[in-house]
Amino acid sequence: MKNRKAQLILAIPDLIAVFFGVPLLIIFIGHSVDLPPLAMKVLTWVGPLWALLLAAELQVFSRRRLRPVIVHFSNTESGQAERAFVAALDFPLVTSLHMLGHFALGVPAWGLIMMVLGTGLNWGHIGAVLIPGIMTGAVVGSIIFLVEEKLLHAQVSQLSGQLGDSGQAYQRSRRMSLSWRLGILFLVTMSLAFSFGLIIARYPGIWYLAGLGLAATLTIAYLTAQSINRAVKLLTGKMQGISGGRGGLTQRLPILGNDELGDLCREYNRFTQQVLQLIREVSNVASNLAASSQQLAASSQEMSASSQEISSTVQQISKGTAVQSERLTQMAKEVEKLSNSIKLIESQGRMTMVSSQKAIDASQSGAEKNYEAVARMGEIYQSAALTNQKVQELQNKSKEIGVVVSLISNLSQQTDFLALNAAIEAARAGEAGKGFSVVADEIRVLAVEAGNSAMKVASLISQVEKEIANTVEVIDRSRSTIDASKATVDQTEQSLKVINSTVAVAGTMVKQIAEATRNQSKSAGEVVKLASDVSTVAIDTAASTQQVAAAVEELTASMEELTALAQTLSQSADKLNGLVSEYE
Amino acid sequence: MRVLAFAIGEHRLGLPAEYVSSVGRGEHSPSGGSGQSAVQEYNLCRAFGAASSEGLRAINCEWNGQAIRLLVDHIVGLVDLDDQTLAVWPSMLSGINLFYALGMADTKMYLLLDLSQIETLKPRA
Repeated sequence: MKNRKAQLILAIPDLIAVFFGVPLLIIFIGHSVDLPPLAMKVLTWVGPLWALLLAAELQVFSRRRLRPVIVHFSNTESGQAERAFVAALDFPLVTSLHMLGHFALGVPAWGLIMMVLGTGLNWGHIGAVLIPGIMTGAVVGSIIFLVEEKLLHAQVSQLSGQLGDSGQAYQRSRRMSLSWRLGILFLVTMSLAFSFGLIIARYPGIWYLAGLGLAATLTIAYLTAQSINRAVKLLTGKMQGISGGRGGLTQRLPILGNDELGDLCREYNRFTQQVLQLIREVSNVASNLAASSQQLAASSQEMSASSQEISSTVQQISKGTAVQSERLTQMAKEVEKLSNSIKLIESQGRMTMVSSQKAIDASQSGAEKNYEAVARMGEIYQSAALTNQKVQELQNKSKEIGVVVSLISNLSQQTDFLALNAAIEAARAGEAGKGFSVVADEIRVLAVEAGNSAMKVASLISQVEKEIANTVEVIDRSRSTIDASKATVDQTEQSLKVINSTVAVAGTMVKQIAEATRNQSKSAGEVVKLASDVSTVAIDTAASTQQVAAAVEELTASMEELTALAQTLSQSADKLNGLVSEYE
Repeated sequence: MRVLAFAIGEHRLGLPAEYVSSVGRGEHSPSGGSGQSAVQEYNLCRAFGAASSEGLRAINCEWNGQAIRLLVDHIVGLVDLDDQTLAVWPSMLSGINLFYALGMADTKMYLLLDLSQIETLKPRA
């Protein structure tokens, strides 16, 4: 609130009282009461001073009463909104009553003072001025009330809006009902008319007084009507806003006074608050409903999709079950064939067991023969070693013979040379040496023959040595062969041992296999029976699966209908939400 | 005519017996350390390009007071050549001066060695 307006609000009562009330009172009293001349003079000249004194008093109290309003609007964080609201509501009525008091009590009081001062007034004069004082105070007070109410209208409206539900503040304020307001208006106008009528009847020349009273009456009537009309217009505008939508329910009617219209605005605000709360709850419910509907629609769609998947899966299962049944039947046939094969294997296993026993016996016999072969091989090895030794001895003897033969050959060669030289000498001796020449020739021939024989012997010995060397080589080779054979025989012996043990183990295993084959044959028969039973169950399962598939299809159709309903519900919830949001 | 027959490879040669002193093994000289004049040794196997399979034989002989030692392949022995079959060295072979005559014995022909031409051979070192 601006300071200038606050000063105006504070000045208005005194201005009205000084410039309207006091002259009216003086004229009123001057024409209605026969005052002594001195008293009239004192009243005329000193009366305004008394009025100024009373005005100052009113100014002091008015400032105290209006202070909460001024403080609140000069400092919005003062927290005195409720107190300022009560003060603004009470200020016009209290100020007007205060002013009424001034005129109703101040005028007789001033009469007593003048009576004491000896101006010629008596108790009759004091009683006579009482009515004009009250009448003037009522007129002035009414005008002050209506003007102050108009001036404070904006502040009261703003404070009412700030306080929201201003119930307690409203209760604490002073009430001025419309009945009282209209009654006072009627009483004042009628009193003025009656009074002025009496005065004009008594003093016909003061018709202007009638015009003054008429002007005051019209002013009061106008301000009263405007006061009521202002509240009605404001209420009508708010109602038009509500009916036009766009958050009308959030608007609050300002409480402009503690009267029937204020009650109406207050109850209207309560009503709209409750309706708004209800609409918000409905909006929340609609929002939740929309969300739930959307979730329901989504869930229904998912369930519908799941149902379709289940349906297709069940159909696949149904097909698979049929195939399974067919395969099981085939399997039963194959298992029966397998059972027959196992029986055949069982009989062959028995034969194998017999053959295995024979193999064990043959293996043992082979091992024994091998032992004998090993012993014979040892004897051969020893004989070969002995032969080798003897042959080496023979070789040594042959070499000795070779040496002797070489010696003989050398001797025969020497003899040959000696005989030849002797023959040469004999030949050189001529006839004398002829006989010696013959002997020498004979000796030489013998020597040559001896040499040839020695050569032959040497050749033979060489051949013998060669043969002996070959024999030694053969024997060595035989020994190597015997060694290899011995190793082979040893390996054969080991192999036979392994074969013997392996055949024994194989025999045991063959027995176990035969036993297992018998058990398998028995189990295969049971498997054939089980496969037949499973095939029967699979056929039943296929039939049940088809029934399930049909049920799932029906479920899928129901889910699709549910999805459509959920979508419709979601749309309705959205629509409701939109409608409700227009009133928020 | 009595000759000492000897062989060099396939060839049979002969040397008149009156020139021959002795025969023996070919590995050592019989004149070594005897105080006589040095012996001229000729390896006829090498001169005739024949290879000896066994040990060489030595023929010790004399010519004009010179001791000569011939190394041969094989010594056959004393052979009596028929004088009627003895033939001079053919003129068509006049370029070969080492032999001077041909002789037959027991259907075998012998080339008679001319010791006067033995020096044409390179003595053994």
